[in-house]
Amino acid sequence: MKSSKGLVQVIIAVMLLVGLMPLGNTLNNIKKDAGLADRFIQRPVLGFDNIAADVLWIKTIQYMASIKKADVKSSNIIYQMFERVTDLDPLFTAAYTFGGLAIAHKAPAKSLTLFDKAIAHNPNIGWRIPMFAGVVSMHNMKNYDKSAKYFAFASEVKDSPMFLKRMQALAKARAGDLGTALILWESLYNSSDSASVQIAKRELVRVAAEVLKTSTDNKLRNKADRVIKRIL
Amino acid sequence: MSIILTIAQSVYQKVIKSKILYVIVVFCLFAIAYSTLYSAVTAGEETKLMKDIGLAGIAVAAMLISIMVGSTAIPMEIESRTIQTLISKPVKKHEFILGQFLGAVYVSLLSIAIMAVGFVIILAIKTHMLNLVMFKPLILICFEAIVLVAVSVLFSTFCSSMVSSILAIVVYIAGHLSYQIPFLVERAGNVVTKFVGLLLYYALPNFQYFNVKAPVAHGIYVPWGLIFGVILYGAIYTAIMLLVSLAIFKNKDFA
Amino acid sequence: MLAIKTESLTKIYKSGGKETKALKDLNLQVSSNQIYGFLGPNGAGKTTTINILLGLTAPTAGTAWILEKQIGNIEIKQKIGFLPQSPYFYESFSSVELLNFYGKIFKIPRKERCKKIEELLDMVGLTESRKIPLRKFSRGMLQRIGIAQTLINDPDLVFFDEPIAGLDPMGRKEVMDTILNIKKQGRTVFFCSHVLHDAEMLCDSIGILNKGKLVVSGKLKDLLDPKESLEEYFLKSIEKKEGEKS
Repeated sequence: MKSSKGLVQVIIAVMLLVGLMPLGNTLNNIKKDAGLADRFIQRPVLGFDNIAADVLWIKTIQYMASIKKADVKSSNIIYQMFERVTDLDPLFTAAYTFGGLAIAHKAPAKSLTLFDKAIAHNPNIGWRIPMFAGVVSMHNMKNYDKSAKYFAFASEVKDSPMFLKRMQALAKARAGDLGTALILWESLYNSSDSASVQIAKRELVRVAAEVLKTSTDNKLRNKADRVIKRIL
Repeated sequence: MSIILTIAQSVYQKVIKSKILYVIVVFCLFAIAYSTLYSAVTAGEETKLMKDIGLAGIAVAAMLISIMVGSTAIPMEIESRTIQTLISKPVKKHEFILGQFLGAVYVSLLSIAIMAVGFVIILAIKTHMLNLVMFKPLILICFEAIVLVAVSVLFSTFCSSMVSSILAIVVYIAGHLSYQIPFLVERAGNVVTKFVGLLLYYALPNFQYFNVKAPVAHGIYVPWGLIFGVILYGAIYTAIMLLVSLAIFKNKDFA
Repeated sequence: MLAIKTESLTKIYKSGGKETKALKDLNLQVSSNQIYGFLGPNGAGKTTTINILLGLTAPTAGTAWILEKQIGNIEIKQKIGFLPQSPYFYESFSSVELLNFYGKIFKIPRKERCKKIEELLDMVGLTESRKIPLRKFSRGMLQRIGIAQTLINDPDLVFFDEPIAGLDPMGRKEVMDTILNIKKQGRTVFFCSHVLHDAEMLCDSIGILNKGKLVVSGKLKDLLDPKESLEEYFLKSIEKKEGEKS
């Protein structure tokens, strides 16, 4: 009787354990839907990812403060340190911003890698980091196509400032995509933002003149002609 | 039920006179308070640092306290032979186990509550606002502690206090790493490896479920459905540990 | 009424492949309202017998009854008290806390419990030391609080395991007087000892255990010759049994 009572308890325990399986899967699904799913690349720090990231963050700040003159080597080291910080805490947006901007001048490609990581791991990243990525692409890497994509992404964020659309248009123009630049500037000219209207007026004339000077696309040339006549 | 509560109260009375408990709680509160001085080296992230240190500190302290109390309650009774006097009285073995478990849980939760209140107050002073959302990870830290107590009690039914503490720590570590098993099993070609891997994954307590410190510290919303689901998970896992403990303890001799 | 009865009670301990028979077919009967001395040399199986009767260890074979209820019945424990050999109590507790704790275990109502605690502390002379933690108690004081907790539930049957061992002469007298008082209150006392002189002064009946076997059991006045001491009888019984065996 005694041993059979113990056996019943063990059987109930096993049944409960089996019942935990669907519950565990449900919890995994809830975490996934809430954007909190565990990642394969997650460092095994026993649930203390944040504090480990903070310790590394402080060390990284101290290292940056010790650098007398930034160069490619120190920028690469800083990049690696911020990579580790953001591996531990992918939601640490300040680390992406700080790190990306710190190395933008000497290691712009790595800077963009950090910004891309921020965008990938943070669905609600906002407009600032994509904007920084756009600026780095445009200014440091002269990759205007890429910068236009970043500015487009940033401008689509809710409550983002109007100047991001202007930056996108500017980038498109510098990338040689005068047709898209014309469309973007025209849309800004038609907007209600007075600053954008003023700047758009000037840029539309400049881009339209560029089209008329260099483009062989008749459709585009006609469009540029219409724009100039409309504005002037 | 009254016997279970009487035994639980005796566990509390014994442990509360232990200095090590106060050392852990005070040290945790000191670490939280000390984190307010880190503004010079955090480049503007001092609030995040405070939240991280607070939650991590409480989680570590809760782990130490729950394993310490859970692993020592029963072995100390057996090693000191006080269990002989107790079992000679009308105390059923399951009442003894549940009483020890509840007493250990009460001590753990009380310690967590003290540290949690201290943390929220210090954070409120620093940020000039009441961060009640911090209670979400704190609630799950409480339930993680309950599961750890249950695991420790299970080991203590057949091991000494030292061995059961070590085993409980091993389970704590494994429980925090077990989330990786499905990723690894997915890539395993061998059916046996897959089966054993999944068995281990479900048998170990998945402590990652209880870990919402990171998103809350970053201000990301954690759904209440997840919180309640994890509480249910913790309750069921605790019940499993206690059932097995009772089965083991049933045939134990105390002489 | 029989306070204690055992039938073919056997206990075998297994350790490292080796078997030790601590008790061999023990058939014991102890009537109520008396002091029964369970005697024997060290390692005879006296404590093992008590442990089985109290449910601290399970018998390998045989069975036993306490107050006419089979062992394992949790309700019967409401009516028994037990003082183990070298009593171990919660060191951080005071006397009051300890008695209060055991009183709650017996579900004694609060008012009655408080009154009982005061009476017991007075009886064992520990009223002054009521708030001192037990870790600061001397051996004699621990024995006295042990006796107090034995009586918290007004038991019909009390088990004492070597209650007088290790005490000074004053302590020994106090404990012996307490045991006699317990019997006067109509309770049955079953105590184990290897101190034969004290057993001779206290006991109504005795049982002698040697190497797990009951050598002799009965009323003291029936077993002993008028000029014979218990010690002489004890040695004679054991030597006789060992002679029969060889």
